[in-house]
Amino acid sequence: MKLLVLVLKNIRRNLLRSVLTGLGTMVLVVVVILVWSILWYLDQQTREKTSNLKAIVTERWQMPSRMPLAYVPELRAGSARRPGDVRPQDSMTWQFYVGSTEPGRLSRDTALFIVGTQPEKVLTMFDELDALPPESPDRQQLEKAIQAMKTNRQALIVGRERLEAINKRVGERVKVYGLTFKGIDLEFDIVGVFPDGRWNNLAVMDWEYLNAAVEAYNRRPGNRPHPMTERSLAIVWLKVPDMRSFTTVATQIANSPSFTNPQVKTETLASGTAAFLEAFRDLIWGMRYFLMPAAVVTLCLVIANAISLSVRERRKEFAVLKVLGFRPAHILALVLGEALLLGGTSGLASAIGVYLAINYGFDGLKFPIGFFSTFYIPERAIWWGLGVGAATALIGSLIPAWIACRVRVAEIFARVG
Amino acid sequence: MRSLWRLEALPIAIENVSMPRAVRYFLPLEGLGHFPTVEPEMWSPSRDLPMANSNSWCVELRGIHKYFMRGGERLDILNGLNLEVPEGEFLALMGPSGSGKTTLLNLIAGLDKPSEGEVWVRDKCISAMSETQLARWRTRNIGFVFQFYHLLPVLTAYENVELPLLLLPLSASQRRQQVKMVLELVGLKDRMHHRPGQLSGGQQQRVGIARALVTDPALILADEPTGDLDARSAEEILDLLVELQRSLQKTIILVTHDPRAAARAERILHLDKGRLVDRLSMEPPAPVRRSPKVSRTE
Repeated sequence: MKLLVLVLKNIRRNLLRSVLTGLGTMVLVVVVILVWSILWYLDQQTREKTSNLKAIVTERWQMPSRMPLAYVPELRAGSARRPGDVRPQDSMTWQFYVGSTEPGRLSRDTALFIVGTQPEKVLTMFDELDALPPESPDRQQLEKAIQAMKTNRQALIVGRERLEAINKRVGERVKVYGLTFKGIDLEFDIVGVFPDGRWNNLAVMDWEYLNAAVEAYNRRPGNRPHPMTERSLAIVWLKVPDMRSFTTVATQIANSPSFTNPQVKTETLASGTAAFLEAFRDLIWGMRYFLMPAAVVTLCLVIANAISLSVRERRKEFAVLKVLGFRPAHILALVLGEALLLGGTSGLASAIGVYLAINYGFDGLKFPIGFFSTFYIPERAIWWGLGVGAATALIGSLIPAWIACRVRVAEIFARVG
Repeated sequence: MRSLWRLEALPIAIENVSMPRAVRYFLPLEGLGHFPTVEPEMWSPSRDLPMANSNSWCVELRGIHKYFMRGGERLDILNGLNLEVPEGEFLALMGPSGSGKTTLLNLIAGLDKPSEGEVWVRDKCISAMSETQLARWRTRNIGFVFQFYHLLPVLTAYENVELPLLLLPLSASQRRQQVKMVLELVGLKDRMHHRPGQLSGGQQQRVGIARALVTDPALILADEPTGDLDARSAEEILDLLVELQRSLQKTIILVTHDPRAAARAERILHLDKGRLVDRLSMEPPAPVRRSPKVSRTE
């Protein structure tokens, strides 16, 4: 306890240097935590689950996936044809309609990325939304919106950021000029909003509205069938209870003669996400293997520099401590203790600060990677901050601490005698 | 509760001899034994104090050589030095700059090792100990007083004095009692919460002495303790050292350039070119007889 007091007093000795070192540590820990949180979330998304799996069926050879709507009934059944075949627990289809709120002008403020799906699946198949507790206001608001979609085909649920970007509110009407479905412009009534998070930049409409609009386009006199007519289905989602069921369903689909032109592939959501993130491979690699290590190494150097200066200034004091009977291990512990305390507390404070600021101050970290747009700092990041601060302090102070404990008393006090 | 402060023998010594002012330092202390009331005028500067252990050496150096290699050249600091210091003696080591005084002090404190020879302190050959063993041994056996005090600036006088006690298995209350006692002994009880920067040079040196005394070591090594002080403060520090040696039977080895400081010691030795010499004859000094008391009364 007394040694801890001594450590604290030594930290306080040069307050400016300690504060600057602490601030340097905090800034670098912020960088580490931000990068780490993004990587951790992406890792979570690409990690295979063992139960409650979601499988995605897409076109085998082409990206983006384009399949005919005729595939829908058999795919949603998991190609279960014979008795004993495994059927998915749940399913939904996705069609992508991208458009702009202003004709001929696509920008961040006008673009809308709309998923056409079965409205009732929003709360059962959409990641994170399916886990909303029944009593949560977000879920209740979504339930109302879904109810509205069932009675109003033109209903639209929009992510918070997108809604803000296009400068609209719930209850207003919006016209979207089709880009992926050229010549098919749709009008929507905005009936709800997604809770803050992963779906901030997405919108969802009733798939039947889109398909009815395509049919209407095709029926219009003088029109040739719309090019998207036979290739508007992007993804089919299947929920299966476990890996074994997934393998069986995937085999059933692969063996089905119905899916030959185009061929399809079935993969888990995790591997699908990983495949999708391949486009961002260089960015993620840079974050994981360059930015993170660079921040950690810089942090070590900052601490090493501060502790080295402190040790150099106090060589005589360490010698005096040795004269008083302090052993090298004591001095090692004193120096390492200073670094650990400084690094650990700065790291912890930084982690708590960034957790509160990002999650509650800025409503998440806006960093669009594919369909992930906003990242949050997980609670465990607080311990990462403490760990990173303490570990880098420990590594950075090892050499200075070793030098301090090897101080030779006779040399320090050597003078003309 | 066991007190580190081994004052049990002190009342015996007090009964037999006239005591200096140091007695007054002890009188206010409670629970340390029964001290007779001694008036200051009873103090006479006689040197016939009985030794706590007059049959053994406190320090014994046998055939000490110390040299350094500098640029491939051997630099001899101490040359075949022999020295015996009886228990309870106040010895002054003098010599010109570069004569090896501080090196000798470092060897006795176990802060450095001889190139050849043996250093014995209270029946232990410290030149054969490891660094860790020496550190442990120093805590209990050596008190070191530096010329420039070397107090830790971030700690108060109390905390500086307490430092060596942190290494011993003592409770907080034992440490507190011990620290207060030595601070009172050196006359700084009212300054115990002051930092070194708030104390004068003489007061800082008193804290240094208190720190050296706090573990009750048998041997006090003082390296130019008055070298950085004005005449008055230096005199006070020397008075204190003399009183400590007389009342507590501490063996004190004082390294100094100052003849007035050396004159306060019971014996003065001179170092010249790494050898102990008699200053006048430049011959090796006559050996100290086994019974220091007899040698002093001769």
